[in-house]
Amino acid sequence: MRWADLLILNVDKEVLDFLVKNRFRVIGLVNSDLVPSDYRDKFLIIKRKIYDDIDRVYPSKDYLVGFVPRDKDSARRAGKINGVISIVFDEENIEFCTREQITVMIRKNVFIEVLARSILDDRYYPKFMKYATSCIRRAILEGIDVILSSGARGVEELFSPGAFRVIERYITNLRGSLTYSWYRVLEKWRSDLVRNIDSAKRTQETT
Amino acid sequence: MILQKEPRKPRKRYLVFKLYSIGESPDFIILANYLNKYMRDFLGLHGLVDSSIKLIRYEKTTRYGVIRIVSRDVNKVLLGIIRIRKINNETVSIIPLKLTGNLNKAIKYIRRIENKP
Repeated sequence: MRWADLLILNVDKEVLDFLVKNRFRVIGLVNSDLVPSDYRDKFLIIKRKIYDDIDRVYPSKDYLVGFVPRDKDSARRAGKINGVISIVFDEENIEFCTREQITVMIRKNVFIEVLARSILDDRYYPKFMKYATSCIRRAILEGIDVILSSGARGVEELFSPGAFRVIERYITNLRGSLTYSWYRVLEKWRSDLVRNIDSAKRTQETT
Repeated sequence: MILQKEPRKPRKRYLVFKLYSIGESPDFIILANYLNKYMRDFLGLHGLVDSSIKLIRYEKTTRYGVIRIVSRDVNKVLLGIIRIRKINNETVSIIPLKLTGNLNKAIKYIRRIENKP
């Protein structure tokens, strides 16, 4: 299985080196133009757009759109959108991920994206873990896809695949529930991308 | 009188890790002291005693190491370990590679990945 980090907010050489060394193959970047050409063949780069204004959020095939809700109403509205977008929950808005929010999102293609960088800050750690644990468990039970991304603004906020797996094990105790769900999301968003990943994998295996 | 079954004895687990650091790698004593201090803050004094966390082996040059944990609180302790980001003002990240129940297996695993090209 290929490792993915679908939301990295800032990219530089140190970040890319970390991702290469830790065998990440799929990365989501807000500023994908900054990736030097010698790194481009090492990753499948997913272009991301992140908004905090609900009126600007439209599902797109060119960009995987993410929405960071700043109030409960906009989080609910985003949950009802038809199309593949993510609702990004970080340390500042994780409390909006309640039972009502999950209910709104049932049978939609909107998925939840939880930023793991929030666990690094001592001030937000207790609140984040409390809400994230209940939110993620509830969402998985209802069949909503949940992705764990780093949301890193620098190399110090990145997580290795092993670290992602530790968080997954602590929160859900279900292998693959958070670390492999990116595959299902990409399949819903653009199935051609997943086909390309599969064929690349097969070629790699045969050579 | 019904004899209650004794709770299962906690087993030792060995975490193989690699320390990723941008600057200079810390040596064994610095890392062991930092780990002790950090886990005391994270788990509390009583939690530190319960988890009996200990740095067993760390090589500064290859940056591979082994940490011993007790199986009872393994998830909590691992979560604490992956939160470490600064040691002596150097940006670091502890990358968990393998969790095993046998120290020899852990050392064999390190040797195997060290010899990989």
